[in-house]
Amino acid sequence: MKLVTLLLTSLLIASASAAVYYSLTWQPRVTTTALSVQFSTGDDTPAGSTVNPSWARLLLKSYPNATLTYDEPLNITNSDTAAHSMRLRHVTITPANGNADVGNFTRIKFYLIAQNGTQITTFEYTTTGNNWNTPATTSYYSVPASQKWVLKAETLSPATASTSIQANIQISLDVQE
Amino acid sequence: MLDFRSVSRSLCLLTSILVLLLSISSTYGSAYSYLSLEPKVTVTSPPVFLQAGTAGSSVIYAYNTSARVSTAAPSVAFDAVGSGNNGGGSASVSWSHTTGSGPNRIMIVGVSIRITTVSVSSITYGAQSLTFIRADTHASATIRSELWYLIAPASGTATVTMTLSGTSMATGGSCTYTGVAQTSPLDVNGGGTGKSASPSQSVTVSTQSSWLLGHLAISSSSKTVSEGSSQTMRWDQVTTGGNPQDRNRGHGSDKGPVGTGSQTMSWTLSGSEDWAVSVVAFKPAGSSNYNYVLKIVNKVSDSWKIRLKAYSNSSLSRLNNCTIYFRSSADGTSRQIYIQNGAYVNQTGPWYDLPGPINTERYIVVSLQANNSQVSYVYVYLEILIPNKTTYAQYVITFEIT
Repeated sequence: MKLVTLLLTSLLIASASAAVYYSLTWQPRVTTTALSVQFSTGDDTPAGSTVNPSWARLLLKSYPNATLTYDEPLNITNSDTAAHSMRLRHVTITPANGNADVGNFTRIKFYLIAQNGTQITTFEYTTTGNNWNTPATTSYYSVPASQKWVLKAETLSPATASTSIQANIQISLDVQE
Repeated sequence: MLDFRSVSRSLCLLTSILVLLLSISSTYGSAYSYLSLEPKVTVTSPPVFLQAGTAGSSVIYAYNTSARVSTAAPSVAFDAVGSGNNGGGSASVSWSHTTGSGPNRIMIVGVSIRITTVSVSSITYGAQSLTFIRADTHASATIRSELWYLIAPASGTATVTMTLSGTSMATGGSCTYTGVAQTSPLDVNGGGTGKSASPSQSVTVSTQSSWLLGHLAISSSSKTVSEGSSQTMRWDQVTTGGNPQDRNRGHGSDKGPVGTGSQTMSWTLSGSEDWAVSVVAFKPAGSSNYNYVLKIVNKVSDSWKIRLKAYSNSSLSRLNNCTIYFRSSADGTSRQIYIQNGAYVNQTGPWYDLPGPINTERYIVVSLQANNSQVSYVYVYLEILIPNKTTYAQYVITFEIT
């Protein structure tokens, strides 16, 4: 028991003493590089939209009682020489649940389309009354090197919708570097 | 003696290495970047409107972005039948016939005469006179069959009066149909005679969805008649004078719609007998044109490309012709949806210009013909495309075709 007490005390003293530390030097080098996976404008990027490599605001319309499809509003490009995995994750949406404005939307749907035209997954917001049904986070999908995928969008409002109502969505595209 | 300083130093170094390794292992392969996508969706009044046309019956729904169009496709349909006989024989036969009010009517009359030296001199329906089609006389001179017709018989009830060239036992029957071509209504006719229990006659039909009327005349009243495939009996008359072997039977049947090529009317008798058969095929009326059922109105100054795409349907097989096309005085016509003999020839139309300025109009025109009087639905998207883009809206238009 004395020996254990002595050992612990010694350890405490030794660890508290500056004399027992090694000085380990870590010198991280932070280099500014382009994102491996980036947004870029598509053939159908709506007027007034802003598309930066890491941030895109798409100004979409929704017609009452008619489906509106944007085949190529946003490109997602993997400019790296290696494949990267990515997923879509819902972050926020307004108007919030319970707001009567929610009922002015039937469907806001996004399609992830591979370069060869294959539909990879969908990410769909629907409504029930005045509440949103938000999409679950998708699985990770691997974008091959040097490929351009497309985010297609489709909107629909009910016949009873009022014009000028807006829905603001924030979606995170999580990319594994 | 333990060197405590050395032990503690070693422990400390080991801990540091472990922490470093743990940190490296947890970091390696799980570096992320997060790209932020922020769609802003605004409910907007659509830039192109659907509006009701001047033909058919159209219902336009909210925001003028969907419509239902009701039209009628002409088809041949049976209307009514009448028949009679002159008992033990006379120089005429008459009976009452009530004709309906449907469009594009025709009356066909079949005659059975026991004495073959006697023929029909004339047939009238009220004040209207019928036209002779053909006669078929048995080689043994035991029975004669004749066919006559009348385009556009008056609707209502009137007497069919058949005047013979002499006295004979005779029967007659009349059928009226709607949806029949009013100019050159007869496609083909044919006839034959024989002695057997299986009278039949084939004709080669050249007009799709024609109907056949077959008249069977038998030189006795003792044999019963059963119908051939797909036939419907419309009348069966027997005379009453003398012995059954001295009497005659007149039996009228029809079949339709039929396709082109060889078509046969046939019957089965309860025993072998002398018979004469006359068959006529009559053609459906031409397509009905609805000019126009809807108009497409540009409500902004932008230009658009438009087209129709059929995405669903029901009872398509009855449509001999369903053509839906765009029309404008500036750009002419563009066939968009084309259904022929129950199958799509064009399910998606070519792009058509809907230019600015505001209130520029394009028209939707429909041409229809069916082979029966059921109901078909063709569900169509009106696609509105921004020129040189792939952004497009889809308006739903339902075509109900009775």
